[in-house]
Amino acid sequence: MPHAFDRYASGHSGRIIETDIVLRAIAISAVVFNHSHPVRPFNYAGGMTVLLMLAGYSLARFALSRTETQDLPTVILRFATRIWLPCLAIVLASFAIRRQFDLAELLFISNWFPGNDLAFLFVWYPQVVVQLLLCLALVFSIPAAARQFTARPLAATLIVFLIVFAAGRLFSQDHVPDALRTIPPQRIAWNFILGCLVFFALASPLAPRWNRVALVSLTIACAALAFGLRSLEFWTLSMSVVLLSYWPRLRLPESLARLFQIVGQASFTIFLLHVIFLRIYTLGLGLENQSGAWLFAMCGSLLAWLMATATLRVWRRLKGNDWLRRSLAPVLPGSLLAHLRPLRLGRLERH
Amino acid sequence: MESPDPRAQEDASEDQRPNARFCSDLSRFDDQPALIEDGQTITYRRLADLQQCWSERLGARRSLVFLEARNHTSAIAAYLGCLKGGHVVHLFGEDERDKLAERVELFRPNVVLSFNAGRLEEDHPHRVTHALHPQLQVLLSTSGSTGAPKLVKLSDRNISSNALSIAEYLQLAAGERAVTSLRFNYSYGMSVVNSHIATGGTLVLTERSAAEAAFWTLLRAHAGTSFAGVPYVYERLRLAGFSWADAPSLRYATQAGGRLPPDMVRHFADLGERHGWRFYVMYGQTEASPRMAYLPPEMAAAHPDCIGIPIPGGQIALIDETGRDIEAPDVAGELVYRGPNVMMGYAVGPADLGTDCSAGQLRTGDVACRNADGLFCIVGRTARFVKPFGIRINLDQIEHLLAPELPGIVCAGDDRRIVIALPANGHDAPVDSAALTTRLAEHHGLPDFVFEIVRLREIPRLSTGKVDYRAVMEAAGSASQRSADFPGLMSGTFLREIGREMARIVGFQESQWSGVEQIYATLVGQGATGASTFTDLNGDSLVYVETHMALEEYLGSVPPRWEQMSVDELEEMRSHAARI
Repeated sequence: MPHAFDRYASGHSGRIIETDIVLRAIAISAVVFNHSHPVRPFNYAGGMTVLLMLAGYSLARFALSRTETQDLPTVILRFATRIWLPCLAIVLASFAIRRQFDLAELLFISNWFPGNDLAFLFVWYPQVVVQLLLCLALVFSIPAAARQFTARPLAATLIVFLIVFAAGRLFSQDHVPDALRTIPPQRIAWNFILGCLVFFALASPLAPRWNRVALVSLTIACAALAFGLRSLEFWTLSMSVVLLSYWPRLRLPESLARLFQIVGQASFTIFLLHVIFLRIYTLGLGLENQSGAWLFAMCGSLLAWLMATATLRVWRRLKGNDWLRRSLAPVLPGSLLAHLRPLRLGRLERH
Repeated sequence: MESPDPRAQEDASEDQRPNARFCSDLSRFDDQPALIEDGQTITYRRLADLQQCWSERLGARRSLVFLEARNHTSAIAAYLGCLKGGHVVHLFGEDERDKLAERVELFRPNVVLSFNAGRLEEDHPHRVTHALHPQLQVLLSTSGSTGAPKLVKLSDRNISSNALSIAEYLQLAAGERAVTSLRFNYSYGMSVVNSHIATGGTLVLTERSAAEAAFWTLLRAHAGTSFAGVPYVYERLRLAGFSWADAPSLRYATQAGGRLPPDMVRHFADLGERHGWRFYVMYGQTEASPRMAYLPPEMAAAHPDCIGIPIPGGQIALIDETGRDIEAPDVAGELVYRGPNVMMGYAVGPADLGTDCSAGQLRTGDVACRNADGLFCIVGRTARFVKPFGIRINLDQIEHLLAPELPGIVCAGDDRRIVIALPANGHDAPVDSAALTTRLAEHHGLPDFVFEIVRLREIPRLSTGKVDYRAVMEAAGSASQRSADFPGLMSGTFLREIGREMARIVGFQESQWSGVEQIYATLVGQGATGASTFTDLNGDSLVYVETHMALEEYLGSVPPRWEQMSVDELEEMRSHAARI
């Protein structure tokens, strides 16, 4: 009888790694790959779909699985702020560089309008996530709703999922020309809530086998309806849920696992910075090789993350921390952090 | 409190060569299975032959034997052969091999039996004749001597009486089958081997960990009747949702090797009741061969915080600071154990192998109290013992060790750090703090960062003139805070540190995490307490991979649902892992 314990018991070569980390790393690499290949035989989409599902999965795992319902809105808003602040910094920097301004983009609602954004960032994704988080915070600020959810998280998430999936189909823009398409949260909320559903279905101690079967079936059916059987998004989303359901931890060669972990850790920074590095590659360096662009954007973003993370860690170890620096840390070089010191709101801590 | 000693008639013989009574006549169990390894059964008759072979092979002259204690037939037979032949055997583990050369050089054993490609090989490094005490039989290293070659001396009487006591309170008989879940160089593991051999029980030999499914498959296949585990293993089995219904032959489970939290004791006592096995919480130290107390299973649910009552033949007393016995209930005092299983003392070199320093009692360093039901509960430790990473350190010993070269030195500490305070006026010559730290760390088998060297203008003292150790710790805190002044953002130190940190993140350099609290503070950016969990600290998906990696580096492996485990729970796992 295999025990869950086995999967991380010692005595085998390689390293055990959580599957969602691997998926996160592959998904962000796929996103950058897609964006670095403007000339392509077909659309490589799928990375963002998986990332959105994983965002919901992580939210459920780290925030919604709490038992103190009164904390939920605060926790969700704090998470939304952590996503919003670095994005805002990039949006403002983009305005400054382009010497242009867009109110909808500044207010983080440009996903409701067709057209291109000014930011050197695919800003619709954080906009959708932040808007969804705000909706969730609003729902959970109603005590009865929060209580109901905490009492039956799986059932509640399933109901919400079915509602938002129907809404998604209702607001489908399959027949709208690309230039006129918008990405309001209701269109893809199901993708995000699916992540929450995956977490609660797999965490539920009741009928785990049937939960897995039902979850995979539901995912395949919904993904087929939303994307069509021939789309890459259908396959990536379905396979991701299958992997999460049946192989929550994977044993990989040490170096490969380390690579996935580093890329997985840096995924948000890579998402924030890869467009900037793609611009540097094509406009700044004048290079055209698409695979080179992918490698350059990945390595550049990773290096930036590595430097910022190391700086922040050293800073915290030596001095202290506060929530503002924490929020900005993924995108700011360490030396800039010093100037934020007068703004610190948290208490001084020594480690 | 004293229990009658059923082994009174078995007092130490006057013979000049010991012969551990519990295994002196194995053939009396005839064709009962003694050992099962890889599907092969060794009967007691056959084991007696193997024991005799080993006894003769080691020679007529009493020798000092170092034996690598693996759960293999050859190692068990060699161990029993040593006991039968009256040789003194030091059991060492596979993980102690790196310290073996130093230990061999110091103790100069006549024979070293170690495994090479799965076979037990014999080496005769020294031909010296040791002055061995007539009763000395076994040498074990303690958790406190991981880095220093300091061994616990156990006599024939110590191990035999303890084996029989254990067999008595666990009600062991010939039908018992234990699957080896612990190494037998670890005193708990040795006691499982001894008590089963003493009663004609069967040992199913495996090197598998109880964390592996294969271990439980083996237990089921051989209808194992017992399971022995340390708290870490029980915690992980609980976390992994192990199904105890899959071990239907289990008759009892024992827990020792550290404190299992009361809720876990209740949990396992309840599980045992539901699945038809008894759960024994036990207390001991290697110095007591090792068992001193056990909690009767029927009392576990009502008194999960207690270590219970003394084992048969043992006696537990509590003493106050003046050394007087405490009789009143619920008054804390140092736990002192008296019994035939108390060691003969420590050996730090070959000269100690000829002496018996046992006063018949063991001051455990644990502070306990006796409740109204007569059960003992551990409530703390005497101040001068600390247990960073589960390794027992005597702070007085460090002071004594360093005093000749650093007069006036004071050592204070807790379970997280050990502070070496140097009086500023006592040392004109500069002290190489880094070298001193490394030396202490190596000596005690602890990481460097546990030790903190500080120079104080004056050593704080109480009005009685005694050193105020609490004030030393506080002064050390502020001194190190001053010395750790922020180096300046563009300074070379800061940039070098960033470079090092980058190398650590990508795995080119080993990370140096000092604790789960530090990991959370550095990565999540929140000050944690012992009860904090990652989710409590508002950890989220933006930092969880980093935190997971750091915990993996610090703990070795990260259990599922780690984000909902408290700092204390994670630290406890690490300290138990270190002890195992």
